[in-house]
Amino acid sequence: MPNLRYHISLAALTIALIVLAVLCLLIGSVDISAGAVWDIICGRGAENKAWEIIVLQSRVPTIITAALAGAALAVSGLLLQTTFNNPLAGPSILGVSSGAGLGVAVVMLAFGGVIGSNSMGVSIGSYVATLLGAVAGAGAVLGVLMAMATIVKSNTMLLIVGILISYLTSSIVSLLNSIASEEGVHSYVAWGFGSFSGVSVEQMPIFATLTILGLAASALMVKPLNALLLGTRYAQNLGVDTKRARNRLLLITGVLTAVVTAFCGPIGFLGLVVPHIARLALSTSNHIRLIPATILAGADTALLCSLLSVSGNHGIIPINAITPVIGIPIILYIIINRRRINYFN
Amino acid sequence: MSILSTHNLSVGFKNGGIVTTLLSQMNLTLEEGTLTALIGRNGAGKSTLLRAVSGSERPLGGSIIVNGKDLSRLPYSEVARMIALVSTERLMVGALTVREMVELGRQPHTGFMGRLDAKDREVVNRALASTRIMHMSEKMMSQLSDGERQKVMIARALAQETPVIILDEPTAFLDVANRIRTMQLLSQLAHEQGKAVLLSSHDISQTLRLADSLWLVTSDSRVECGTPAEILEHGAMDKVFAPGWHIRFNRQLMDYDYEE
Repeated sequence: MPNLRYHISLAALTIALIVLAVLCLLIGSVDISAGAVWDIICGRGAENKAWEIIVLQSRVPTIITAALAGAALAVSGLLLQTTFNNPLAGPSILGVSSGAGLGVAVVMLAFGGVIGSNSMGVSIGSYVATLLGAVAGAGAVLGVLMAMATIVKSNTMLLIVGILISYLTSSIVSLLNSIASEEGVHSYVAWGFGSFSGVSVEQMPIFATLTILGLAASALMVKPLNALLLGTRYAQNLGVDTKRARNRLLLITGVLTAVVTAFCGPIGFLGLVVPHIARLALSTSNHIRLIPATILAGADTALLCSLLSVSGNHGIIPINAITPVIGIPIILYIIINRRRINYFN
Repeated sequence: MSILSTHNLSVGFKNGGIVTTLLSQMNLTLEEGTLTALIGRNGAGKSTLLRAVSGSERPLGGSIIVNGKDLSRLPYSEVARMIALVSTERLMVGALTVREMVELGRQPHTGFMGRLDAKDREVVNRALASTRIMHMSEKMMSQLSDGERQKVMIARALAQETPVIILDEPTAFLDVANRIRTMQLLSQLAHEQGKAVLLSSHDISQTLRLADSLWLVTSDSRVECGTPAEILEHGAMDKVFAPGWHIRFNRQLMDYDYEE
């Protein structure tokens, strides 16, 4: 029975992924006919060279970026929820995204590095610097959270610590803004809206490699993740070195969140919400099934956001204006039905 | 044969550099095929002792030898194959089936990804059968009563296939019928499967009747070890539980009664 539900859910999520990807190929701010898109994808070219560039250098990279970023954020959320034994944990709510954002801000505002712009000629060095800044920022926040988790045992308190970290980072960013160049501030503000279209064809290999490695590493952690469902003491009694397992999980989370944040901006809610969508769909807490479903559901949700972002009448809607609209109703539903949803009890 | 023994063991806790010793100079043994009950008054350090003996917390001093090896030097992975734990923590994992929960007990024996082979499934089935919960194996944990959950956690400990099983107050949240059933089940497991079962309990009359051996936390922060008859013979029970109370332990009935 549980197996049937799993296979049906996985099939549905995969079909949704394909449908959403195709829609993202066809729909954009420039109208291109389906036949022309098909010709371009098949390598037959198109009479309009601009269309070729739009499809191959904008739409295709955006689809890949959205799918990978969504999967990465969703898996980060799942790992955080299990590591901290807290269903409301997620990279944005715990301040991990803001930490990565602070790292980005330091690089962008203080050193003028640029990432996430389609402009040609951006040196590899500057986006690697931004990336490292994000990893350092996310890592620092995860370190603080880890230390606080051993002091404050309450789940709610840890969430408050995460919110405090977000406030602190945004105030530091404001301070940095006051000393930064106008160009730096502009690119930082644009980055802050969140976008899946910021990864250029040249940047794609490094973005894809890092996220895929992170996702693969998380799939290798199913055994300790399942043991951690029972809490620290039981996990240790099942042979898991919980300290080492938690450190590895936070390292994976940090890299995934940092890479996505560096390239796409601080995207909220996906990491918090998608693991719940996967649990509700599959009705299981077992990570062997939850991780593949979370990866697919994360990619689906991000593609849906990306699709909605180009469906406006006047240009592109920022991703961060869409994710709360999708995310908050689901979180409220989960909080209200806490007693009824079986994975809480 | 004794599978676990302690040597001058002392347990307690450290808080900001201040060491509080709860129990000290303990030389205790656990025998295979016996049910041992740890009894004592509230706050005497029973849970702390169980945590130390199960390897989940470091003792303050002394050593614990399991199967000829020093417990403090063993990695978690090896302890997991010798001692299974059932704690009092209430779990928040509703969306696992009973079978999946019991299968987690196989973790110390499975490979990197935790895949189960035919032998693992066989062990899981036996654990479900001997705790008589096979019929609910596809139920979700969230659908179970406290008594049923306790049985699942015992089945999970059995699936771990360890010579020692340690349970912290396994009957605390159960009604009378479930208490008796759980205690009988544990005594059966000890006698029929040759396991060393150690449990803490406040149910004195149950433990006096069903335990083969007692660890009694005495009023001078030691632990006395012996059969229920031996312990009653010494009058140790009266010293621990009776001062200021009108309770009298009765050797013939293996129980206590109140006095007006």
